Amino acid sequence: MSSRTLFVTYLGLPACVVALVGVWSTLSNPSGGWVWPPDRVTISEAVATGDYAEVMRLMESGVDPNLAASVRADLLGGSPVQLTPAQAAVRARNAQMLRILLDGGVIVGPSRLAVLKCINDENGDRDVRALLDAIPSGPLPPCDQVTIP
Amino acid sequence: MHGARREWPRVAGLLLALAMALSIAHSVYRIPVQVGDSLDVILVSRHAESSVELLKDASTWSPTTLRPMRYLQARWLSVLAESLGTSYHAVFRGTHAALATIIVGLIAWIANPRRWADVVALGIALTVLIGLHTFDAMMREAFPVNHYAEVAAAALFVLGSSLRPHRLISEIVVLLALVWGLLLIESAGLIWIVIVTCAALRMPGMRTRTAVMATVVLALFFIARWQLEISTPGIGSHSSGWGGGVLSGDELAARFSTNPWPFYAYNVSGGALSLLASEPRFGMYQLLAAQAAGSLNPVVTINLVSSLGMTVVLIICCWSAMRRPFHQWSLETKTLATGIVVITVSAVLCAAYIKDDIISTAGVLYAVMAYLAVQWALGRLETGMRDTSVVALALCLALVAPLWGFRAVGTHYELRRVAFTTRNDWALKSVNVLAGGDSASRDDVARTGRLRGEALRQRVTSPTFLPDWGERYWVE
Repeated sequence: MSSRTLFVTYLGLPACVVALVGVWSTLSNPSGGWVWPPDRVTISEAVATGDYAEVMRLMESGVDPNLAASVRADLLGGSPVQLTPAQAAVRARNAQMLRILLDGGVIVGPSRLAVLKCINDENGDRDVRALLDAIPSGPLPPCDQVTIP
Repeated sequence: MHGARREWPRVAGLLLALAMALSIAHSVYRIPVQVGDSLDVILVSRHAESSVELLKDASTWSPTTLRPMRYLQARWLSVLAESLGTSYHAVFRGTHAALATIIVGLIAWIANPRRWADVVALGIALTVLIGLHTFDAMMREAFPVNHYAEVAAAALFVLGSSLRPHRLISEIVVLLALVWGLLLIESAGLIWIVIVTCAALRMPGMRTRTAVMATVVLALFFIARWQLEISTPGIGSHSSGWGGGVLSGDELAARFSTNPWPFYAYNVSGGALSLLASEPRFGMYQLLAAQAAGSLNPVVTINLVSSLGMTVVLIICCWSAMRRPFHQWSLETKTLATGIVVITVSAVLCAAYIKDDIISTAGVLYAVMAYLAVQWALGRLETGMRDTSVVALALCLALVAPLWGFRAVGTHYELRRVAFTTRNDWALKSVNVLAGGDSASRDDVARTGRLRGEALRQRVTSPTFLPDWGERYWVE
């Protein structure tokens, strides 16, 4: 093979890679893909990533926003964790998301509120705190008596 | 046997273009219909009783633009979706994705590769097309279909049909595309530019009579604008980049209202440089901004080096081809000349307002020119690698080919980010608010609800899951 042929092959390689990767990502997209990351997430993962539209879609399709769901590693910590959407919103310090969840029917009883406030104490977001303080409740246990997920 | 072998490069080129077209169409199709720029147009387009009434009404809605086709095509597409019983998403986003495919296909049609070296040149040209920020601008936004993409496709068709023997059907399509384009967006004047340039350069598929008829169409368009008392937007109607920062509309008006020429000159040169060097963007020189901020994202360097490298190859190719007397000009040289004219006029169109979309038609012509320049450079390689200028060309190509491939992948990355933000726009407001509040009609609320539902059902990837480094290397 001549040096010119080698050189021309080298020049053509990037376009071939772009084309092949493009086709592969198009074909593999529905199953989670390889080139691009998957677009399937749990409601708590959607909350953690600020994916408002997915949160709305899941709630409108009947997913219970009060139940804990798995959150993969590196989103809200180094390891996978089970969190309710409200807990994920507080962990992510996303007051707007928390408001959407509360408006969307998330029930926050005294024990759940205590957990949320203790998570927020670790993160310390003022807007989230204001939202949590606005939820009526009786006396809450101190954080050292609350199990934080 | 030999005949079949000769067809292989053509087939390979077609497959390459098809693969690139399908993947970019897929990335475009994933973006939901936009709230901003699209929803209002779709809703308003259905208020009129008929298309004729809409044509009349929409012609008087803006004091600075005459774009009734924007509303008409939105109406026709939404009616099509309803009559087919399919989603608005499928029709609107499908049209946009089809436009992306058509643009890629038209470039392959113009290139018409016959040798393996041509296939390589086509591959590089397609990465230039997809990697250019002007192409990204055409694909990321819709109004609800991107008008600039329609103009770019029409301009490519005019060029492609001019390169082939004259056919009456092509002539009719060219003129219809001009009429359609002019009623869609003023940038369609570039279609006229391509028609007149191809006729002036005596390309085989373009007759003088077509150029004359196109000129009559353009004149009628300007007369209609004048009759409807439509003026041109002046300085201060938009914010704009200036040096390393951005000036608001008021700041621009205060600084340039008495003498706008420095601003016009800045924008015209900026428009041309934006395409040829990927700097500035929207009039702002990111290198200056980076100097002020003390940090430079790699994306700026990558874009600058890849664009400048390709532009250098282009300039050398143009210089070499155009030194000959006009009667010796080949079709390739005439195509390069057409590209230069379109880039120049597009830069002039940026005088009052500079943005990526305005130079997007020039961007697709730049990709065609890149094909011809790489094809020419590869031809020079055959003459021997000992010539210093050939070695310099080879080094330049060796540098820019992978960089453009990298930029092309970046466009897919960027379109995924756009899909996420576009979908989120639907989630943060209620259907009633999106439809226009308490004054919204029941039909408007119903259509908005349907569009919102479709947008939410459109699965997208959160940028959180995309590689962190992508933002620094691909997003400006």
